[in-house]
Amino acid sequence: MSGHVSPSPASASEGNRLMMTLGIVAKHAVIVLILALFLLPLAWLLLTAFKPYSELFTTPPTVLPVNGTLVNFSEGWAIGGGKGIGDSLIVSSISTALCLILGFPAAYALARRFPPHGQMSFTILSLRMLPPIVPVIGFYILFQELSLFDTYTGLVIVYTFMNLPLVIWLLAEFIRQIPKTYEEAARIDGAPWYRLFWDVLLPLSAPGILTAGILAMIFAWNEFLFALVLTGEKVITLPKALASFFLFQQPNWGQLGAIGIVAITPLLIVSYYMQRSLIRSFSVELGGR
Amino acid sequence: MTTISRPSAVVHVPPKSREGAEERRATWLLLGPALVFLGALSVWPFVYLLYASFTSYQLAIPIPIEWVGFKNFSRVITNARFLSSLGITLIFALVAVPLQILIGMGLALLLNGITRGRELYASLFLIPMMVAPIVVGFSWNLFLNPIYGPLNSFLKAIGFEPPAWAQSPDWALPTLVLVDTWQWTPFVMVVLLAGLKSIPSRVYEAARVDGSNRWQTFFHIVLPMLYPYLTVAFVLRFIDSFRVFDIIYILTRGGPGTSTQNLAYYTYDMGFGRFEFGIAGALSIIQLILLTVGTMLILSLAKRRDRAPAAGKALPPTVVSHATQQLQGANS
Repeated sequence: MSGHVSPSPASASEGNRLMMTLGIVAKHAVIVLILALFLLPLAWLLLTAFKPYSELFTTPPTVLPVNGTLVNFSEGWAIGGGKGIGDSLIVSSISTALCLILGFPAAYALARRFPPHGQMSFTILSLRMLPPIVPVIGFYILFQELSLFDTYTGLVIVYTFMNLPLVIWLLAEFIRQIPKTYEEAARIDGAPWYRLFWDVLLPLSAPGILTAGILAMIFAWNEFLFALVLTGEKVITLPKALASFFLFQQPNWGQLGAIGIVAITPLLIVSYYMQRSLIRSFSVELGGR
Repeated sequence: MTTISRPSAVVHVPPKSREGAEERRATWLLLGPALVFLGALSVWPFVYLLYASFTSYQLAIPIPIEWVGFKNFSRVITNARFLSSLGITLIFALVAVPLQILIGMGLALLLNGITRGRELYASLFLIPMMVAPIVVGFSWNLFLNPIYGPLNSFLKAIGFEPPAWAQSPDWALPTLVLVDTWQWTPFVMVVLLAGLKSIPSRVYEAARVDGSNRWQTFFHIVLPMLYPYLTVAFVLRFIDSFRVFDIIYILTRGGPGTSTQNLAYYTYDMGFGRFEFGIAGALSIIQLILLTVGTMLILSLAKRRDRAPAAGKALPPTVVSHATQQLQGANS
């Protein structure tokens, strides 16, 4: 690829190739080093989860657990991690289902019946930008009035409100990528609009629905401020359980580490698979690359 | 720039035939439930929020609630704690975010320079973004613990006298900025990586033929072409910087003293620590105004600088959508 003509082309290009290979190896080495440093705090969390109590409070700390143990996981489950996982699962899965049920028809209407990126889409999306601290006061008073404080229903409603704008918008973007020929063919066959919606577009949108659903699930699973303010003793999601154990009880870091690891592992697995499905589903948008 | 003005942007005109009325009814049938849900839950709590911020509403204190006009607002604005928490919010918005953009740009250029393994690296870099902020805060708490944490042991072993990080008055805020940057730099990286990938290789070839060196190519060609992506990254991170709460809650609880209380934490403390709902409500509304004005200011500045009309017009939704898809795809 060198632009100038050198006197001995063969040896020069060989030298160039060597330099290029070395350059690539160096780049990979730099990236791997940065990545390793970057992930250190999470690696430390992982190691902590396997340390017995006696190894947690030593100076200098042991890096690898000497007597590795799984007891933190069972104890973490028993002290409230189990309840946290259960509550987080209930709240995030029901709110995600609601987001999709409300969001898919709305996304279809926005994608096919409004100009692209119309004012409506933007208004809906701007709700997403609201920091949770702004509406939380109003929600708190409302929930006191309606006896929704510290209920699964209440938290499900808030999480649906929080994620619905994003779900609508992602699905509308997805539906816009689907060629209209399918619907036109069905329309020529005399299918009414709800058949177009149900039999044609819904199956074609499955990858987009999966993506939007997983994303809504992750955001609900990770959410903390609403859970902190709008629930009390009855509903305790995982982030709230972790925070309250850490701040208000004698913390056993090993148990908390185990809870933390259990809280993030499913997300990492799911998001890895989501990435695969997304590259596939957006390949149309990316010009078939 | 092909990805910005995508061919799919064809205007769909609603049919205006005899079926028009039915089609319109169908549209509202599909859109209605979501709009009613979102509308009710935006308006209803907001009315309560306004009510709280203009009255002497105090939770758990059975005093008669009185209309106080703008008294809560004037009490907030003249309070020194408000100014200091505003300053801390701005530090997240104007120090942490540029830091994230700088580092994210470096990482994106680094990853753009290789082909094999790029997706794997990108997805590993994205891990912090998927982790719940509470877990992030807890991990850093363990990592930076002055006595039992690994970092300070290491620093002591090589002869430094390390600070107490989140527990030290001088280092608490920088620690939070560090943690926020750690969690969100990958987001910037992915947005900018998408931007770099959108630049066709013939642009680089043309620049080289014209004899421009690497730096010239970067500053005069690559950077201007990345401009819409930089705007998106900056706007989205600016908006999110008002959300920083979880890591403060778990790492410093606003302390030492009030040295790490941003507006969100201050509002929480007034509302649910002291049950001063009037003050907390006024603070919420002030944040809403600041955020709206700030975002509009950045977008209008970005539009003015962006002279290419097509790109400027398509800026907010299309590029955001592209960036978001890239983000969610976590691909390169």
